[in-house]
Amino acid sequence: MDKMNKDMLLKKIQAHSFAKTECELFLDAHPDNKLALDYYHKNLDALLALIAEYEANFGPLTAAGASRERWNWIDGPWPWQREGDLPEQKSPLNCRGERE
Amino acid sequence: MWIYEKKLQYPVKIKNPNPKLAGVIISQLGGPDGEIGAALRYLNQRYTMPSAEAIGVLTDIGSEELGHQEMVAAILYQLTKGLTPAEIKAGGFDKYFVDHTLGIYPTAAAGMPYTAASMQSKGDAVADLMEDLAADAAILQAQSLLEI
Repeated sequence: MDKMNKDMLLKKIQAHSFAKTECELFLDAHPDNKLALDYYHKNLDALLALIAEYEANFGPLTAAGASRERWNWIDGPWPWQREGDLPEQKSPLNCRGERE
Repeated sequence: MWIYEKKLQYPVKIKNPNPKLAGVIISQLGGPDGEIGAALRYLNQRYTMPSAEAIGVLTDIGSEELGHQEMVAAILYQLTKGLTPAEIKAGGFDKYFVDHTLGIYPTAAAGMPYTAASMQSKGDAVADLMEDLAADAAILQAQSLLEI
């Protein structure tokens, strides 16, 4: 699967995850609201399916989703990094603080 | 107990580094009304709330605020990535740089490190919730100022 699919899938996960978070806040204050509860679980089902697809193809979103072959939980990019922006990448500055 | 999800709540893709902007946005991270302050208020006030609903709301909002501070840190990381000392000085970011280089350090734009002295947790539900309202109003003000 290519990077375009990874980004699109992650965006869908972020959208459903945001809906999940906000619905949790609503339910915290309205625990008997059946409509909200129903919405929450429909959305959660969709989210879990998307997460399963993402983790199968692009790596874990929680530590529990890490591969059994090797601990890929630590692999980059981490959420604040861009692709190819990995910790072991050489600094762009030389010893005089100038850009190479 | 917290679980970490290895994604930002909303994507952060900064096109161009900008040390001047970073010097202002840093307050959203470590300022008195920034995301760290929000998280610490809610997560510490929740223990003495008098109802299950209140505990639930403060727990879940506080947890979400931790995700927000991650996004602000990601913005700062990308705004300052790869900058030379000359670029940093030109952007007025040199006073931060001398103590932290490009490290992410929670501080206010005017230089005061994040402190719990700027928040309150009084064990009184009304006082605590008023404190939260004041902090959120301050965040809204700061955000509208950033648009200027």
